[in-house]
Parts: sequence; structure tokens; C-alpha cells
Amino acid sequence: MSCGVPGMEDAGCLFLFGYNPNTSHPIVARRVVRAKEKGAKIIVADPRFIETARIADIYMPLKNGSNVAFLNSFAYSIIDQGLVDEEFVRDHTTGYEDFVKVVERYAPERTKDITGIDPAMMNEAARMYATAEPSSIICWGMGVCQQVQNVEAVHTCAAIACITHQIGKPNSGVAPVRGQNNVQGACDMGALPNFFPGYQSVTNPEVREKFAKAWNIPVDKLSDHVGYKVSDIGHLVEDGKVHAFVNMGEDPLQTEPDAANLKRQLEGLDLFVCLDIFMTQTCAEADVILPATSWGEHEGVFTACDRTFQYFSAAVPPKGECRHDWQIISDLSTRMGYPMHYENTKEIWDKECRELWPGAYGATYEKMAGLGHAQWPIPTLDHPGSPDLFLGGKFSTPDRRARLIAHDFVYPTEMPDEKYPLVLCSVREVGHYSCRSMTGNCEQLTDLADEPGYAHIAPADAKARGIEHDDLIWVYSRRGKIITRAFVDDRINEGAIYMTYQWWIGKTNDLMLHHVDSRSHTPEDKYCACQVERIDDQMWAEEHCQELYMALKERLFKKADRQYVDSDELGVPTELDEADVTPDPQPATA
Amino acid sequence: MSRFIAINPNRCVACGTCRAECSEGHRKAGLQSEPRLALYESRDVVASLTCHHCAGAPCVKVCPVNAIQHCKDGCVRVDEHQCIGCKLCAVTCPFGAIHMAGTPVSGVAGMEYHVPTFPASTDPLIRWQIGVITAAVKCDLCAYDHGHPHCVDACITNALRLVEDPDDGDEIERKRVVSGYKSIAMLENFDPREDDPEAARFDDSAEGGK
Repeated sequence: MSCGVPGMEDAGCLFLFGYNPNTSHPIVARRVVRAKEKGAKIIVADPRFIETARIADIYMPLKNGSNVAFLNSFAYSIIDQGLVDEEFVRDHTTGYEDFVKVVERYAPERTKDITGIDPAMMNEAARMYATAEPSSIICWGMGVCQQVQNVEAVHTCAAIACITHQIGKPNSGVAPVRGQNNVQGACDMGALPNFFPGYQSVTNPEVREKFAKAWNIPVDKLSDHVGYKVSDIGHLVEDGKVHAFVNMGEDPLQTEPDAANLKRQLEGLDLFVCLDIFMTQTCAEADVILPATSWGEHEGVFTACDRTFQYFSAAVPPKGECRHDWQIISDLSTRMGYPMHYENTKEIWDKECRELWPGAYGATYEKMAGLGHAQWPIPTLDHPGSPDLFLGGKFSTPDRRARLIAHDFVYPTEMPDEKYPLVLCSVREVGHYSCRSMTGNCEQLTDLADEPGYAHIAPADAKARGIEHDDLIWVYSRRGKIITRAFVDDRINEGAIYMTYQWWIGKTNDLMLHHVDSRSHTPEDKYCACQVERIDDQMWAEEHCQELYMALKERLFKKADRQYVDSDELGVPTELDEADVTPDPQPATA
Repeated sequence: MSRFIAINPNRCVACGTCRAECSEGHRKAGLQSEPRLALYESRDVVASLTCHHCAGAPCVKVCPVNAIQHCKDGCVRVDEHQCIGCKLCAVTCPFGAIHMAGTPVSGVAGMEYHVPTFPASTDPLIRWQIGVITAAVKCDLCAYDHGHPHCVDACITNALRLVEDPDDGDEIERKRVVSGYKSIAMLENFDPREDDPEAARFDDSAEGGK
């Protein structure tokens, strides 16, 4: 984010584009409410009438999968109405002519059938955004990132902020929120295939030299090319390029699209190690499970989406055999030939983050003590931290100018057709978090919302299929078929259904298309084709649902409990069936 | 004295924290863990709705076993031990603020399966096993915690508020003045049926009233 989350309250206009703060970040939603109370204009562009749309000055019901066409028209409208800050464009950007050449083909009148937005509304919103005082912020979430044209849409959002000079001043610019807690922190610390800690490129020889020296290893031991991305893991195993997979605190069989296929692909691994705090569907497939500690058991530093480092301390000591992630990583590294030892997280923070990343040097544990925080860039010990980036129009490119880039619109990969006439879009809800391995194991949250979850459907689409609110229904796509509950919702646009990916029985990712974009390799989780069907025998459906859930729980329970050692699965003879065991002629991994 | 929880729907962000807090507080006290606030969402409005603790509460009148009582602290309360689950109160409540619930014991998603691992209830009369007797649940203004409602503290946007007589006298006086001005403007062409489609349903003279 180019601004801080608290700063959102003081902007003159918040433009929420493909972002539903109320379900993904209620704490940010609180800022939006306060901004509104302080007089900010709110623009919401979303296919659903989301919670914030209720308090918005303009709600733009754009069609699913039309982001880039919409943004191009938005930019067209800004240029057409003479709202470009020409001085800022001249002094602080490059590529404006090429940007205009693309955008000028997207007059709102020409795109209205693609985006569903009335040109007058487009012009009004563009004017509201571009002229807001003292600043405007474009906020976007997974509605932008999980589309086939995700990077393209981000380029255009940033360009829109630049041409209107709604960036480079306090409380302005771009606010891409994160999908998970501490995604920003994981990226900061180099948990990316292309960066060392602090966004220092692995392909830069000087950077490699620096890290090799700090880590006391020959420079040729550090890979000089960009690594694989996690969304490709299935195909990489299938192609024989990956043989071992260490999976830390993730449940890809719940969260990755086309999960049933991924499960089959992961069976091809020679070695599959999982670090987790609960038994999950992914852990159940692992060769080795290393029990880790949960957030209440360990300490460390989280980074919020607005680059704020926050220290958090442990509430309780680890249970049983559980160990901290950093201890497990150190041990794995030591056993693989690189001795790694740290006394505590502070040593890791000082040595691996502050000393190797100049932008974080001032973020000491002392500064973050108690309720303290530090917002990077924070290069020196007495630096106050930086809520706002690019102040004065100084960008982080070599020539300190923003590059304006526009792209032509491309339709989503799998369009609805006669057999699968509805768009399936995966979203969030407040009740549970992500793959539900954590919140699903929390009694009070399970009481409030449990399997099989809901598919939100427009009243007209439900009526056409004879479906009533709370009915159990079938949802199917080219990938699979699942059972879930219908939520007939007048906030939903016709022709689309919305499901959260957290339910294990109503498992959205058994339906989702696995298609990633070429740049970031992010799956297109917001768009695929599906169909919904009513179930006549609701009594049977309720029972079926319960059976599936109990069977899954039982499977995971047995996997987690050492008393239930399944001899067939382990391939190890036990006392009971020793006599029956014959040696397996074909190792499972062949 | 009557006390109740009021909501400012413009501030509500539908996060459900009030419901989680309500559920947890009552569960710990050995009462039904069902949340006593309902989140109502429509295109125009979102709000956590709960009991108004009506002065002439119809639920108190219809309860055949006197399980629902006006309490001295300005609250209408169900005694879950005495409740026989007859549902009359739920039917008669004009706000839908009462419903029936038995604490589910399905356990959590991943780990617990054979035996529910809830801590033993502090109240021996509320059973935690499958087949638990269904009782009417409604807001009790957190009587188990000296009538200090947990949802109000939990609300992240301060949308919820405990309304108490002494505090709100002045506020009501101020609103009277404001609404006095407003109603003069409203009355000029006021047709209740225009604004409220529900009104037409109860109007016998309206055509197609059902």
C-alpha cells in the first residue's frame, strides 16, 4: 500500500474496486465507516452489492470478469473530462502517450455491454475520484488479483492514480490489501521465488554476493534464477520437475483450485512434508508431519498490509512435541548440510532482516515493544517510519518516474455456456478464515457457522431452478460436483453464484478452474462456469451431507491419533496381520 | 426502568463479532451457546437485532410455565431450566427476537470426533449431550455477568449501545425536537402504503391484500 490503513480515514475519496473489506478485513471496514463519517466520498465497484455499497455515494455494479475494460473506460473518462494532472504526468511519469493509445479505444459507451456500467455513472465516478480533496485512494483486493488479467488491472489502477495525481501525497494512492495475515511479512522476508529478504532480486549478482557473504557460503551456492511458484506445484510434480515438497502451514488441497486433481498430482511426490498445527486434508497425505506452534504459542513480527511491523509475544508455551517454525527450519537446514542456529526470534530479526535490508534497519524490537510498531521504509534508528510512499512523486523506479501501462481487455478463461450457464466466484465470509483449519477447530466459531456452507445465489436464478433459501443444492462444473446450501440473496447479481473456499464438504475448489496468469501465476479464482441444481429429497441431502462430514472428520481424526495406526497405509506389518503381509513389489513412489 | 441494546445500522459492518462474543459468554456460563443477536442483512440495511425487553412483553404473558419474567434490572429474561420448549414466545414476539436452540455437540472440524471435549457445564441442569432439551433463547443482557452486555464491548465500530433510562433522557428530548420539525415536512404528502409494502398486507381495503 502506498498509504497507511489508519490514513484511509483521512482521504477525501475511497474507491473500493473488487474489495469487500467487511468480510475480509472488518478492521479496515471500520476505517471505511469512519472515513464516511468524516465526509469522505465512497465509490464501490463490485458485481455484488457488498456491505460497503450500502454506505457508498456511487455503487457501480460491474459485470464479473470485466475489470480491465472497466478500468480502461474509467481512465478514458478521466482523460475525456480533462481531469488529468498534466504537470504531474509530465514531471513524474513516462509512457503517457502509449497509455492513451490503448485507453482511447475504451470509451464508456463502447464498453457498457462488457462492464454493465452506464456511461453517465462512469463519468460521475471518474470525476468524483479524480477531483476529491485532499486525496483519493484506490483499494483493491482479490477481486483484482484472482482474475486472468490481474497484473494488467493492477498496472491500470496504478496508472489511474498517477494521471490524476492521487498518489505521491499523504493518504493517497493505491491500497492493495492482502488476502491473509502476514502475507506482507512473508514477502518482506523473501518467501517469494524471486527475492531475498527486503525485495532484493535473486538475479542481481551484487545482491547474491551480499547474501553469500552474510550467510558465509560460496556465492555459487545461491541460485541465480527465479524459483517455482506454489500454484504450479501440481504440474511440476506431474512433469517430474519436483520430487519433494515441504509445505509450511498451508492446506493446498483446500485452497488451490481443482483440488481433486491436485491431490492426484501430489501423490507423485517422493517426499511430502507438512508443517501444521492441525490435521488437515493436506497433512493427511503427507509422509512426515512436523507439528508447529500456533500464533498464541510463538512470538515474532507480523507485517500488516500497509508495511507496519508489529511485534507479538507468546501467550502460552508450546504443547507436546510442537516446535516453532524457525526451530524446525533451522534443524532441517542443519541436517541438510548448512548448520543454522538462532537463540531467539530477535536474533533472526536483527541478523536476517534488519542487517540485510537497509529499508528495515530502524525497526528494532525495542521500537516495537508493547503496542509499538514500525512502518517500513525505516532506514535509520531515529527514523519515524513511513506511512506514505512516493511523497513528492518520487517513485521507486531507476529514473524515479512512474511507468504508465495500459492493456487491452481479455475475456475470462472459462465463459458460461448452455451447460454451465452461471459464473462461479470464490469469495470470503466473516465467519471462518481461509482453509478453516484454524477457525474450524474453534468451538465458538463452529457453533456459528458449519458445513456445508453456502452458495449465494440471486433470487431470480434460485426461482428458475425451484430453489428456496437454505435448501441443499448441487453445484457442479467441468471439474466436479459438490453439495452445499443455497443462500438466496438480493445483494447478488443474476447469472453468478458466490461461494467461500473454506468448506470441506461444500468444497468450492473441487469446482474451480486451475488457470494461472503468465506473470504472477495466481489462479483465476474469481471466474469459472458452473451450474446449480435443486435436490428434491432434502431429507436425504441433509443426511448425505452429515455422512460426508462425519466420514471426513473420522479420517482426519484417525490420521492424527497415534492409536489408530493403519497398517495398510503404513505398509508396515503389525502383530495382527503379520502373516498376511506380502512384500510390495512396486514401491509406491516409482 | 427498561434497558435494551440499540444499534446504529450505519456503523454496523456485519462482522458478527457480537454474535461470537454472545455465544462464548453464555456457553461459559453454562447456558445455551446459541447467539442471541441475529444479523439481518438486506440491500439497504444491516443490523444486529435482538430483544427490546418490551415493557408489555407478550412473551411474558404467553409463557405457560412462567419461565419468562420481567426482572428488576429492566430486562425480560428466560429461565432456561424452566423453559419447556413450547415455542409460544417465539411465535408471539413481534421482532423475531426469540428462537429455539439446543446446543450442538457436533464438535469442531478437524480434531474432535468421538467425544465432545467441552468443559463440563457449570450448570448441572443444562445437558451437553446429543438430545439436549431445546430451550427458548433470547437476549438476557448478560445477566450471568451482572447485566453487562458483552456484545456492546465487543462491537468494533461502537454500533451497539446499551440504552438505559437515566442516560438517555436528554437524548430523547433532543430527538423529539428534531423529529418534530421532520414530521411537519413528512405529513404533507404521507401515504404509509407507499413507503412500506408490508403495510399493504395488513390493510384490508387494499386490493390483493394477502
